[in-house]
Amino acid sequence: MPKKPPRIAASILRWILPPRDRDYLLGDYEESFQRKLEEKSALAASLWYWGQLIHTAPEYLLESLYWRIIMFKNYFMIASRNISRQRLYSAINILGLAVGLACCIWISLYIMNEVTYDTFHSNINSIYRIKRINYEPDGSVGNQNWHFPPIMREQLSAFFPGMELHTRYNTGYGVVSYRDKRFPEFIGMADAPFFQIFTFPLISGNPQTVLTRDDAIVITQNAAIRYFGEEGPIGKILTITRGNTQKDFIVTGIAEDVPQNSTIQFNLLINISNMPFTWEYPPALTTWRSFNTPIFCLLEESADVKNVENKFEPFYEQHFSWYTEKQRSEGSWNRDDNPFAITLQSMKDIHLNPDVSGGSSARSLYILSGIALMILVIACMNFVNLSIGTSSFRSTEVGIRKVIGAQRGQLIQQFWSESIIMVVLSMIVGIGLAASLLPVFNELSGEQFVLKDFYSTNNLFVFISLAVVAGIVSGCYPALVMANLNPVEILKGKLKFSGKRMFSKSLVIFQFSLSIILIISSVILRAQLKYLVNTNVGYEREGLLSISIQTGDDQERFVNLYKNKVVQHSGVLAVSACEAVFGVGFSELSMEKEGKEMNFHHCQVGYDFIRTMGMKILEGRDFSNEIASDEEEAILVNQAFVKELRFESPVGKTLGNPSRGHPYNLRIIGVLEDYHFRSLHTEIYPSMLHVYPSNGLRFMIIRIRTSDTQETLAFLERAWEEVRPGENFIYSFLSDAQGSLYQNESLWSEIVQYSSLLAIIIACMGILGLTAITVNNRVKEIGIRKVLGAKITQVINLIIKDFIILVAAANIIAWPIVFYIMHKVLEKYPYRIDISIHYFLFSGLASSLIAVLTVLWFAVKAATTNPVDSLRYE
Amino acid sequence: MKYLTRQEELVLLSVFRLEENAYLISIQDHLNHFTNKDWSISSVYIPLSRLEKKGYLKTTIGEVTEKRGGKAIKYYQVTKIGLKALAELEAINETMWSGVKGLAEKAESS
Repeated sequence: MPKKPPRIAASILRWILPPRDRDYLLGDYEESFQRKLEEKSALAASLWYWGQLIHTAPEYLLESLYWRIIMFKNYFMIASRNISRQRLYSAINILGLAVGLACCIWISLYIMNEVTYDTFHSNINSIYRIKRINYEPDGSVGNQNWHFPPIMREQLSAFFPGMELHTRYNTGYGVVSYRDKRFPEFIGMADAPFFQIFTFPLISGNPQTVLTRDDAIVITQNAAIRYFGEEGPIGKILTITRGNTQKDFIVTGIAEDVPQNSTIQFNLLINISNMPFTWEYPPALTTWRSFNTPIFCLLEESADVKNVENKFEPFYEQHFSWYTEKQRSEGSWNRDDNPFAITLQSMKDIHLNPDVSGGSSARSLYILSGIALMILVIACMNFVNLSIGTSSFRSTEVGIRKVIGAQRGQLIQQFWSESIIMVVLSMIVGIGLAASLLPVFNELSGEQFVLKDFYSTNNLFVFISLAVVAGIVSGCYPALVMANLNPVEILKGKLKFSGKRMFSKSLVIFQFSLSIILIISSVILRAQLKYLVNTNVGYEREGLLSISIQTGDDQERFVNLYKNKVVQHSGVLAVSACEAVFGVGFSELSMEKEGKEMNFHHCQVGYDFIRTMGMKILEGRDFSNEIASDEEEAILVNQAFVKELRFESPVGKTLGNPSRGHPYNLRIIGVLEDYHFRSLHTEIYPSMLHVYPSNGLRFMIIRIRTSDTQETLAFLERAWEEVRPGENFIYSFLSDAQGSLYQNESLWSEIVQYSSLLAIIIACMGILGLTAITVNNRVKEIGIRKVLGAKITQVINLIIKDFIILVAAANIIAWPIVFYIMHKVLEKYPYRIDISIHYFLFSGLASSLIAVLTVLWFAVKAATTNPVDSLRYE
Repeated sequence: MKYLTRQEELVLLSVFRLEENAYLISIQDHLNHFTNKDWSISSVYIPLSRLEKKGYLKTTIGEVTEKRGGKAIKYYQVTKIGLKALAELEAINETMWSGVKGLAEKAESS
């Protein structure tokens, strides 16, 4: 028995060697091996064999790569010929894939923006925000937030040695002016270490000292240009006016504009010691009773987060035990532990955290990527379907290749490389598409994306792999089918490509199901949005205008002055004022009633408010400036308020005194029909209106005639300038402001709408291609049918019938899925539409109609062809 | 014209010199013998396969033997254009080398 070469090495070698000469080469290796055996020991011969393998393998691989490139040139040539010969199918494939890939680019831009939120802070891993976890009365975890009494910061250093730096951050409001420029602004407020903790690069100013002074102000480049234009801002004085007080600030630093993907946004930043001033709330920094300000801290790199978090328990005992006591005495907390716990939240988790409201949730990113992938998948399916459909044209080529000696693997490679070539072409078109339609996407998403952000190595890698995977997946089925064809059957002409084609059909059903899911969702989301925007909110929105009053010196007098000036104008129907525009801002008060705390909205309004708004009084009367006591004690409440207090006959009842510093007991003079003070995301809340002065009136509310809006607006502006010289005339229509409450809904509704449009277009392009193929394959059948007396309508019917069945099947699959999804989506709205059958019927009908219209052209063309033309060669 | 690489030239020449008995192992032995270097199988095979694809060599399939593990043998022969290429190379070499003397001594002394 002669000795054999090592088996493993031989099989590896077998796998590496070029297939053409594999057997001869194996023979050569064996011959040399046998010779070595004669000369040396068996071990030496085996070692030699292994050595040869390791030594020569790279050479063979390089060589095979060389030939593969030569073969690929051939594949490329064939592919480009095919693409240019079958223009319709190629266009469908490339366009469809390009649209799918463009969607992927947009979505990835969006997702990148979301996941890179705040990552520009170089200390991000050590920055934490102090978080508060509230517990429900039964001890379960309730909502979470991050507002604390500002004074808390002063106690942190004593308690937490591992905490290097910490800062509070909040925003205040004021009118900022420099010479003749005045702008109402939200002003950031922070402690001195702010610029050491966060990475907001300063163009000038020292990060350690820039905010130490009480009257220091740091402005962004953008704000610098707005206030100072070309002048150098450093050392200039900006004046902030809030209420009746003014304060001067010295510009000590200029920061680069805050990146869009930052949680903390500011244009102007002052020391938080000014909070009592910008909030018009003197005890802001000294009270423990008001939870209003986020606190950020920087831990030492070596610090153990768990350790720090554990210390918050004794911290609570020392500083917040009063809160537990208060809750207990009010009867709203009966447990032994505390009603909330303090802990830390990493800066990394702030933006994409659904637990803490205010960030966008990671789930919406999944949904978005899902939608983009759905469109891509629909496009890939077109590719698969069209390749299968056109395979009859290619079968002869495949047969010849096989006869000449192409191996199965080579054919698979050929078809794969063709699909990858297609995908590369679509990629180029897709990038072009994404770039040219980026403004549309920006408008849709409300962000400012630039394609430049997309060109990072990481992204391109992901994108190209996505494209290659799409190419391989969609080339997979055609490649395998074609490679497995029997060459003898092909060349004898025995092969049939008709048959049931279940695979193609199920792909079409799948495509249409996805499209229909998107279509119905978009219809329902739109209906819900429309419902939210148009629902009767308890007052008349059209023609209602609010003008913001920026400085607060003696507002009541000013309101009357302006009112008297404009109320006579023919375009003005009614004039009043209020503290907060409906739906946008509100303030909340609490009141004790029979030992229970009750929260409600309150809002200071001017006289005539009810008439101006068009609200309905159910009982009692409106405020009247002829009754002197109204200014001191009269309130109007809504039905929800009455219900909460369980009053039988509310009018005339007196309440306690819930307002800070108000000397009178409040008396209900009327009940208003429930109105939506806030957005329809929340249920109607108890609320009350009063005319006694509280925080001051901040908005004029004017109802104008809707016929000549422009003329009236111009008049109002002129009047404004006379009464408030130098103050900007900033107005908005309440109907617009209401719309902006539902920005999120309208964004999603538009996203789904656009994607359903794209999905149905791509799916239709697919069936367009399929019809073309069907008609092509059945041209003789149709000819014979016509010769035998078939009518045109019968022939059209023959072709269309199939597709209608497919679309109907897709509808049946899509309906329950979409019903489930939409049911889940709508659940979270207290005010919502019913998901009624007509949305489904409408979409089903629309999708079938679109499908039929797509197919019709080819069907008519096929049906009207003269049978002589199609049968002349038989 | 396109020149052959040095390896291709040597392999082609070996096939020519071995006449009827040119197959991979014999060519390898031949080259080892004349160049006094250790040619691996792949370093012979790759020039061989390229020469074959360029049409300088033709092949015949020979007998199956036990010592080759039951695998057939592939013999190579120089084709007409192969011969032409060899003749050209010979002419070039001769003209290029004529008159060059004392190379070995110079290499030795320096």
